[in-house]
Amino acid sequence: MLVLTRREGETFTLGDDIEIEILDIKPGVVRVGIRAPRSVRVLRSELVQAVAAANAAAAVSTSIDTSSMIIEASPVTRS
Amino acid sequence: MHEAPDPHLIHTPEGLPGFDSARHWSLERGDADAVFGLLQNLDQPGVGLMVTEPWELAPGYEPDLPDDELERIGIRDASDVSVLVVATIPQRDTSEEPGIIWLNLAAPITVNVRTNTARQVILDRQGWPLRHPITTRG
Repeated sequence: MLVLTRREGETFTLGDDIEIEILDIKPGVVRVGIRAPRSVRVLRSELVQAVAAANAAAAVSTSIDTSSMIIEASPVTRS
Repeated sequence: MHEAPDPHLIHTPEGLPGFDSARHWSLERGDADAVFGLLQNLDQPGVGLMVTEPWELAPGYEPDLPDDELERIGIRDASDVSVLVVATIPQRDTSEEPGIIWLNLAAPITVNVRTNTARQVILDRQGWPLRHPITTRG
Protein backbone atom coordinates (compact mmCIF):
# COMPACT_ATOMS: atom_id res chain seq x y z
CA MET A 1 0.00 0.00 0.00
CA LEU A 2 1.22 3.47 -0.87
CA VAL A 3 1.21 5.70 2.21
CA LEU A 4 1.05 9.48 1.91
CA THR A 5 1.10 12.09 4.63
CA ARG A 6 -1.22 15.03 3.98
CA ARG A 7 -2.27 18.03 6.02
CA GLU A 8 -5.72 19.53 6.35
CA GLY A 9 -6.71 21.23 3.08
CA GLU A 10 -4.15 19.34 1.02
CA THR A 11 -5.12 17.14 -1.90
CA PHE A 12 -3.83 14.34 -4.05
CA THR A 13 -4.98 12.91 -7.35
CA LEU A 14 -5.67 9.38 -8.49
CA GLY A 15 -5.23 8.91 -12.21
CA ASP A 16 -6.32 11.78 -14.44
CA ASP A 17 -9.66 12.71 -13.05
CA ILE A 18 -9.98 11.83 -9.38
CA GLU A 19 -8.97 14.30 -6.70
CA ILE A 20 -9.04 13.58 -2.99
CA GLU A 21 -8.99 16.43 -0.47
CA ILE A 22 -8.40 16.15 3.26
CA LEU A 23 -11.11 18.48 4.55
CA ASP A 24 -10.90 18.15 8.28
CA ILE A 25 -8.84 16.21 10.79
CA LYS A 26 -9.99 15.47 14.30
CA PRO A 27 -8.76 12.83 16.71
CA GLY A 28 -10.03 9.53 15.36
CA VAL A 29 -11.95 11.05 12.41
CA VAL A 30 -10.91 12.38 9.04
CA ARG A 31 -13.31 14.04 6.60
CA VAL A 32 -12.33 13.37 3.02
CA GLY A 33 -13.69 15.08 -0.08
CA ILE A 34 -13.69 13.20 -3.39
CA ARG A 35 -13.97 14.80 -6.80
CA ALA A 36 -14.53 12.08 -9.37
CA PRO A 37 -16.59 11.43 -12.50
CA ARG A 38 -20.05 10.05 -11.81
CA SER A 39 -19.00 6.75 -13.32
CA VAL A 40 -16.60 6.18 -10.42
CA ARG A 41 -18.41 4.44 -7.62
CA VAL A 42 -17.42 5.58 -4.17
CA LEU A 43 -18.62 3.32 -1.39
CA ARG A 44 -17.59 2.85 2.21
CA SER A 45 -15.70 -0.43 2.26
CA GLU A 46 -17.57 -1.76 5.27
CA LEU A 47 -20.84 -1.38 3.35
CA VAL A 48 -19.53 -3.45 0.44
CA GLN A 49 -18.29 -6.06 2.93
CA ALA A 50 -21.65 -6.03 4.73
CA VAL A 51 -23.50 -6.70 1.46
CA ALA A 52 -21.08 -9.51 0.59
CA ALA A 53 -21.59 -11.02 4.05
CA ALA A 54 -25.37 -10.66 3.73
CA ASN A 55 -25.30 -12.42 0.35
CA ALA A 56 -23.16 -15.21 1.77
CA ALA A 57 -25.52 -15.57 4.74
CA ALA A 58 -28.51 -15.73 2.38
CA ALA A 59 -26.98 -18.44 0.20
CA VAL A 60 -29.06 -21.57 0.01
CA SER A 61 -28.42 -25.03 -1.25
CA THR A 62 -30.23 -25.29 -4.56
CA SER A 63 -31.13 -28.88 -3.92
CA ILE A 64 -34.33 -27.52 -2.43
CA ASP A 65 -37.33 -27.90 -4.68
CA THR A 66 -38.89 -24.49 -5.06
CA SER A 67 -41.87 -25.86 -6.94
CA SER A 68 -43.09 -27.42 -3.71
CA MET A 69 -42.08 -24.51 -1.56
CA ILE A 70 -45.14 -22.57 -0.59
CA ILE A 71 -44.40 -19.61 1.56
CA GLU A 72 -46.91 -16.94 2.22
CA ALA A 73 -45.32 -13.76 3.36
CA SER A 74 -46.50 -10.37 4.38
CA PRO A 75 -44.98 -7.14 5.58
CA VAL A 76 -44.33 -6.81 9.28
CA THR A 77 -46.86 -4.50 10.84
CA ARG A 78 -45.19 -2.52 13.55
CA SER A 79 -47.24 -1.53 16.54
CA MET B 1 -44.09 -6.29 -17.51
CA HIS B 2 -41.66 -8.26 -19.57
CA GLU B 3 -42.30 -11.99 -19.51
CA ALA B 4 -39.15 -14.04 -19.68
CA PRO B 5 -38.91 -17.75 -20.20
CA ASP B 6 -38.43 -19.88 -17.13
CA PRO B 7 -35.75 -20.84 -16.26
CA HIS B 8 -34.49 -17.49 -17.13
CA LEU B 9 -30.78 -16.91 -17.56
CA ILE B 10 -29.23 -13.86 -15.98
CA HIS B 11 -25.73 -12.57 -16.58
CA THR B 12 -23.78 -10.58 -13.95
CA PRO B 13 -20.68 -9.24 -15.72
CA GLU B 14 -19.19 -8.01 -12.42
CA GLY B 15 -20.40 -10.82 -10.19
CA LEU B 16 -22.33 -10.06 -7.01
CA PRO B 17 -20.72 -9.01 -3.71
CA GLY B 18 -19.70 -12.22 -1.98
CA PHE B 19 -20.04 -14.08 -5.31
CA ASP B 20 -17.37 -12.14 -7.13
CA SER B 21 -16.64 -14.77 -9.75
CA ALA B 22 -20.27 -15.65 -10.47
CA ARG B 23 -21.33 -14.53 -13.92
CA HIS B 24 -24.16 -16.86 -14.86
CA TRP B 25 -27.38 -17.45 -12.98
CA SER B 26 -30.76 -18.95 -13.66
CA LEU B 27 -33.86 -17.48 -12.10
CA GLU B 28 -36.46 -20.11 -11.40
CA ARG B 29 -39.88 -19.47 -10.06
CA GLY B 30 -42.03 -22.33 -8.87
CA ASP B 31 -45.03 -20.88 -10.72
CA ALA B 32 -46.25 -17.54 -11.89
CA ASP B 33 -47.74 -16.73 -8.47
CA ALA B 34 -44.69 -17.71 -6.45
CA VAL B 35 -43.51 -14.89 -4.22
CA PHE B 36 -39.91 -16.09 -4.11
CA GLY B 37 -37.68 -17.22 -6.90
CA LEU B 38 -34.43 -19.12 -6.75
CA LEU B 39 -31.45 -17.45 -8.37
CA GLN B 40 -29.13 -20.37 -8.98
CA ASN B 41 -25.44 -19.74 -9.41
CA LEU B 42 -24.56 -21.69 -12.54
CA ASP B 43 -20.83 -21.08 -11.96
CA GLN B 44 -21.03 -22.76 -8.55
CA PRO B 45 -23.66 -25.46 -8.90
CA GLY B 46 -25.65 -26.17 -5.78
CA VAL B 47 -25.57 -22.61 -4.49
CA GLY B 48 -28.21 -19.98 -4.94
CA LEU B 49 -30.02 -17.02 -3.49
CA MET B 50 -33.71 -16.68 -2.81
CA VAL B 51 -34.99 -13.47 -4.35
CA THR B 52 -38.29 -11.65 -4.54
CA GLU B 53 -39.76 -8.55 -6.05
CA PRO B 54 -39.92 -6.17 -3.10
CA TRP B 55 -42.94 -4.03 -3.89
CA GLU B 56 -45.68 -5.98 -2.14
CA LEU B 57 -43.57 -7.25 0.74
CA ALA B 58 -41.95 -3.93 1.49
CA PRO B 59 -44.56 -1.27 0.77
CA GLY B 60 -42.99 2.15 0.70
CA TYR B 61 -39.70 0.82 -0.63
CA GLU B 62 -38.52 3.39 -3.12
CA PRO B 63 -34.88 2.76 -3.96
CA ASP B 64 -33.18 5.60 -5.79
CA LEU B 65 -31.21 3.73 -8.44
CA PRO B 66 -28.47 6.03 -9.74
CA ASP B 67 -28.46 6.44 -13.53
CA ASP B 68 -24.79 5.59 -13.79
CA GLU B 69 -25.39 2.31 -11.97
CA LEU B 70 -28.19 1.46 -14.38
CA GLU B 71 -26.11 2.47 -17.40
CA ARG B 72 -23.54 -0.13 -16.38
CA ILE B 73 -26.03 -2.79 -17.38
CA GLY B 74 -27.27 -0.89 -20.41
CA ILE B 75 -30.50 0.45 -18.92
CA ARG B 76 -31.62 3.68 -20.52
CA ASP B 77 -35.33 3.45 -19.92
CA ALA B 78 -37.24 2.74 -16.72
CA SER B 79 -39.27 0.08 -18.51
CA ASP B 80 -36.08 -1.96 -18.94
CA VAL B 81 -35.57 -2.39 -15.20
CA SER B 82 -36.71 -5.19 -12.98
CA VAL B 83 -35.77 -5.09 -9.29
CA LEU B 84 -35.22 -8.15 -7.12
CA VAL B 85 -34.06 -8.25 -3.53
CA VAL B 86 -32.24 -11.07 -1.78
CA ALA B 87 -34.29 -12.86 0.86
CA THR B 88 -32.74 -14.69 3.79
CA ILE B 89 -35.07 -17.50 4.73
CA PRO B 90 -34.13 -19.04 8.08
CA GLN B 91 -33.33 -22.72 7.91
CA ARG B 92 -34.72 -24.97 10.59
CA ASP B 93 -31.33 -25.73 12.05
CA THR B 94 -30.18 -22.17 12.58
CA SER B 95 -30.69 -19.84 15.45
CA GLU B 96 -32.48 -17.35 13.24
CA GLU B 97 -35.90 -16.43 14.49
CA PRO B 98 -38.39 -18.77 12.86
CA GLY B 99 -41.13 -17.21 10.80
CA ILE B 100 -39.13 -14.14 9.90
CA ILE B 101 -37.67 -13.63 6.46
CA TRP B 102 -35.16 -10.86 5.94
CA LEU B 103 -35.06 -8.77 2.78
CA ASN B 104 -31.93 -6.92 1.75
CA LEU B 105 -33.31 -3.55 0.75
CA ALA B 106 -29.89 -1.89 0.89
CA ALA B 107 -28.59 -3.67 -2.20
CA PRO B 108 -31.28 -4.49 -4.76
CA ILE B 109 -30.39 -6.63 -7.75
CA THR B 110 -31.32 -4.65 -10.82
CA VAL B 111 -31.98 -6.57 -14.00
CA ASN B 112 -32.04 -5.22 -17.54
CA VAL B 113 -35.03 -7.22 -18.76
CA ARG B 114 -34.13 -6.70 -22.41
CA THR B 115 -30.68 -8.25 -22.08
CA ASN B 116 -31.05 -10.18 -18.78
CA THR B 117 -27.90 -8.47 -17.52
CA ALA B 118 -27.91 -7.69 -13.82
CA ARG B 119 -25.92 -6.08 -11.08
CA GLN B 120 -26.43 -5.59 -7.38
CA VAL B 121 -26.58 -1.89 -6.63
CA ILE B 122 -25.38 -0.86 -3.18
CA LEU B 123 -27.45 2.09 -2.02
CA ASP B 124 -25.41 4.19 0.35
CA ARG B 125 -26.95 6.92 2.49
CA GLN B 126 -30.53 6.09 1.46
CA GLY B 127 -31.39 4.43 4.75
CA TRP B 128 -32.79 1.17 3.32
CA PRO B 129 -31.93 -1.69 5.68
CA LEU B 130 -29.68 -4.60 4.89
CA ARG B 131 -32.06 -6.76 6.92
CA HIS B 132 -35.71 -5.81 6.62
CA PRO B 133 -37.99 -8.30 8.41
CA ILE B 134 -41.17 -9.71 6.96
CA THR B 135 -43.37 -12.26 8.65
CA THR B 136 -44.45 -15.50 7.09
CA ARG B 137 -47.49 -17.65 7.38
CA GLY B 138 -47.70 -21.26 6.41
